[in-house]
Amino acid sequence: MAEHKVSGGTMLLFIDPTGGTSYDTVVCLTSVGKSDSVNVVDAGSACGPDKSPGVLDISYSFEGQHLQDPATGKVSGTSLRSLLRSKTTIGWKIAPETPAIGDEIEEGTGFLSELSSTYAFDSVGTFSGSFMPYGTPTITVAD
Amino acid sequence: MKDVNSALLQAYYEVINGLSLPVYEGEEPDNVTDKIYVVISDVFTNETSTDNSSDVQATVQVSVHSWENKYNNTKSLNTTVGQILEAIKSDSKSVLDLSLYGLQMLNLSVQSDRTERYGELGGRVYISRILVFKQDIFII
Repeated sequence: MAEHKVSGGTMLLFIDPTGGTSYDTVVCLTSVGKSDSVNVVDAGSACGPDKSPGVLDISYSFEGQHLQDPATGKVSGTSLRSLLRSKTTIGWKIAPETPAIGDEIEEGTGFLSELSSTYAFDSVGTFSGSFMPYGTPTITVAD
Repeated sequence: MKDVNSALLQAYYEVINGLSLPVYEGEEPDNVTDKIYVVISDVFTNETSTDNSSDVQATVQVSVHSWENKYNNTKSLNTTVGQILEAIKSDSKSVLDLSLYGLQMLNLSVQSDRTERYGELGGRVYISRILVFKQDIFII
């Protein structure tokens, strides 16, 4: 595929609850986010500023609507909560369902670090959470 | 910046025409005899370009009209609209392929869907469903 933008709803989160690469799709996602930052080591002195890159910090966030009794191949908020409470090592991938040439695919292992659910009176139940990778995840570009 | 109207109308026309439904652009001719027919019209666009790309947000109106002599209900009309919705947006992530026109549709949603009952006109009772589809388009 030629030059293209990332369409809404195409970048999905997949999780393997066993830590491998047999991924289930996280449903019903409304957003997925990536956050990378490098903390700054400030060694400034009277001789002048001296800043250098420190530790790389990577985390991922997601939001969605609860889907109860999801079909095989899907995982939703309730299962994610079990995985978080058991501190399970998960395999994860953030990518389009069917990547086109040039699409970003990121995957690795990690653990769920936060999960919140909201069951409001006048709207559908939602969840939001985040997970941290073990080590530095792999980024590939589809070809 | 490339115009997107013709490409959009053509893409919707091809999908709906593929369902073997009578489909017209703009307005129907005077002598329509089909009891259900479709009119694609009113492309509205707003430019949403960035520093490095040309983009628009566009809406397209797809009107599905039905008539019967003396009495009419929405059963056939709704069935036809169901077929159109399935064809245009089969799942929550579906978009139309505009690559032939050098365009990429990024998002597609039904912005509104309303039923209009026009009552009896010349012995025919008309009921219509007016669908408005909204989409973001990247002009490649």
